[in-house]
Amino acid sequence: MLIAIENLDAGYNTPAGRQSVVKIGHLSIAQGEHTLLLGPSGSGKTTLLNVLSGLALPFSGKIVIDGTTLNALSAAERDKFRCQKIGLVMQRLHLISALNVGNNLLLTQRLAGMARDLNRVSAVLRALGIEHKAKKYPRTLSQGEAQRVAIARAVLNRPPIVLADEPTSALDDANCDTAIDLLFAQAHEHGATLVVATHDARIKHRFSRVHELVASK
Amino acid sequence: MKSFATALNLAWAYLRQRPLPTLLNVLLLGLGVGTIIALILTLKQAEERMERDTAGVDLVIGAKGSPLQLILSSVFQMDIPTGNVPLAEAAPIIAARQVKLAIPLALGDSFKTFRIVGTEPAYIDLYGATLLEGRLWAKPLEAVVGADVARLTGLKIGQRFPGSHGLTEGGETHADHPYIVVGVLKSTGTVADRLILTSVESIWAVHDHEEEAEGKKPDGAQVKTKKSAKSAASAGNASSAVAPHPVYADQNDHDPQHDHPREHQNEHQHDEDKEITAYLIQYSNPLAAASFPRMVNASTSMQAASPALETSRLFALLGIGVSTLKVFAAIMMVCSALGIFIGLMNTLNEQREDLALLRMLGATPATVFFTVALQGFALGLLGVILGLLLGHLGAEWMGYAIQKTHRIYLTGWVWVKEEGAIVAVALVLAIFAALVPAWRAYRNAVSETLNDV
Ligand SMILES: Nc1ncnc2c1ncn2[C@@H]1O[C@H](COP(=O)(O)OP(=O)(O)OP(=O)(O)O)[C@@H](O)[C@H]1O
Ligand SMILES: [Mg+2]
Repeated sequence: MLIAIENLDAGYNTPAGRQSVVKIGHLSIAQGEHTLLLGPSGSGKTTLLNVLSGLALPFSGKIVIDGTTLNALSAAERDKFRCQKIGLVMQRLHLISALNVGNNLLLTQRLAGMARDLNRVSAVLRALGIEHKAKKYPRTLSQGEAQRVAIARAVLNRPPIVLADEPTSALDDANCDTAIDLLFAQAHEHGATLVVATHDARIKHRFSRVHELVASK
Repeated sequence: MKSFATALNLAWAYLRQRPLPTLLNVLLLGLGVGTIIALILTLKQAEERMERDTAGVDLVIGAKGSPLQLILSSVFQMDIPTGNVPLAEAAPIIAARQVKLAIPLALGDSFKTFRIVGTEPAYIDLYGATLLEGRLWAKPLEAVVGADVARLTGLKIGQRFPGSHGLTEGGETHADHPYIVVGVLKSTGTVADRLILTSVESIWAVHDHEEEAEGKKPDGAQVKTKKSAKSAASAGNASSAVAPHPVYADQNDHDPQHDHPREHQNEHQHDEDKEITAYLIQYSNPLAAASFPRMVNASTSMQAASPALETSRLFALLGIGVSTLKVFAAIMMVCSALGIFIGLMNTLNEQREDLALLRMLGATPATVFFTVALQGFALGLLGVILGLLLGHLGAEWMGYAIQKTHRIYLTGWVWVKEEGAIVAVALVLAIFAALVPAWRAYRNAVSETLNDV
């Protein structure tokens, strides 16, 4: 099993006390089983992705990814684990503004402790049709180009899992389809399993597996 | 180490991303550091120079007038003298048991603005000068030139040159009584470097002959041999109240009024008739400082001034201006540190998401901390480097300006240990300015920053 979640309780410590947002008794996702996390706004999709990627810790429960119990790791170990095992595409397409596209990708290799591999960078950019943008700075990219760079970065280090948080919410129908096509194509090419969180019903039909989240009261 | 290199790369990329604010921060700090360094370099050298020039001189005795002027004119050879004193009146004073050494100075002529000073070999010893070549003067009109004089005028041993009247250019030359160079001194870094030294008798000889030949009195500027001690004294006393330099008239003042015939015709000169500009005194015992100057000031027509006292008075006067400048420069440095702080806080807001992204991509909190801290440190370092450059250039430039007017060679190409302290303070300021933003970046919660839409 690639991802296994047991008795998860995740949420936020607020001034009013512990506030549970996501509760999942059991959820497992096999390799290659692209999954959609669907739910209305505020249902805890982002919260769940944060916990899955190790950016945040759950209150209780167990998350096992690729054989490693994530919430048993130290913060530094989780950081290392994340950059090697998980590619992330954020809702807003963050790139390092001071670095050009190529260097953004090289930095991603470097921070993950991978060897510098220019060929890999060009290969990924070429696969996404933006090789000619390698020397461009993020602010000069169109929304669609930036999105491709974000996808390129997520798959660059060949992570077994790609998590995407509302990758299509800002896109029109045509671009929405293209983005999802790209994600699937890249996941396929690099052997990654996709977990996409969205409230965008347009892409529901593309996934074999849908997990619905409900807003907790 | 690797994460530090990554942080350095990123910090540099962020600085390059906004060249104008970066440049302004660096410039501001550079100007503050540069101002302080230029001031310190110039002051230190001037102070050292003054210390060397006054070393070994406990007291200066000369004509009444401003004590500071007396010190400036006879120790530093900068101002014009307060006048002359009769040899006869000085004789008992310098013979006093409190006086170990009294070096006479006779001023009044110059060559290409370098002063010709009539003195004794003890003056050369006072500044620890030694002969580079040649020998000391043995008879009148033989001269030994200081290192700067030799270098800048090209005077060589055996060469003859006429003294010219007065201490600035444009005086009439004593063409028929040229001096001959018999020796050149090694450089000492003191006033001796920029003087032409000869015997007191040379000065007297030039002016005696001049007067005889032309039948006129030298207009005040030099050691006079004709006036009686009494009249010189009374003239000095009478006019010291109205003019700063009573006996020593302006050397450019060549109006015919001064060219009246000699008052006294006695061809035979006695020591009593002769005058001297000043004596540099060394006490035989430190206790003399308590009573000796007071005695001279009270019981003679001469004045006694202490170089140490007058230079510290001078520095106290200058000090106000200098410390104001230093305060300004310090304020500039603090402001530039503040500028760095504000700049970083601003960019921190712009970089907040970037920094969270770095964490998401696997950067450690330390990497993120250094990415911000190094931006501040780099600004500080660039500012300090610019400041060092500007400071030394500024000091060199000031030295050049001072050299033009005072013939004192100050340079920007020296290092003083205070510079290290200033560099350290500036860097610490820059680091402190970067610390708060860096800490904030360090504490920045990744998941929240990346997900708040
Ligand atoms: N930092 C936080 N502190 C406290 N509560 C939070 C925090 N972030 C989110 N929440 C709360 O947790 C709940 C779930 O938020 P989350 O962002 O996971 O929802 P979401 O499903 O991603 O919504 P959306 O579709 O709008 O992105 C919300 O009710 C939200 O108010
Ligand atoms: Mg969300």
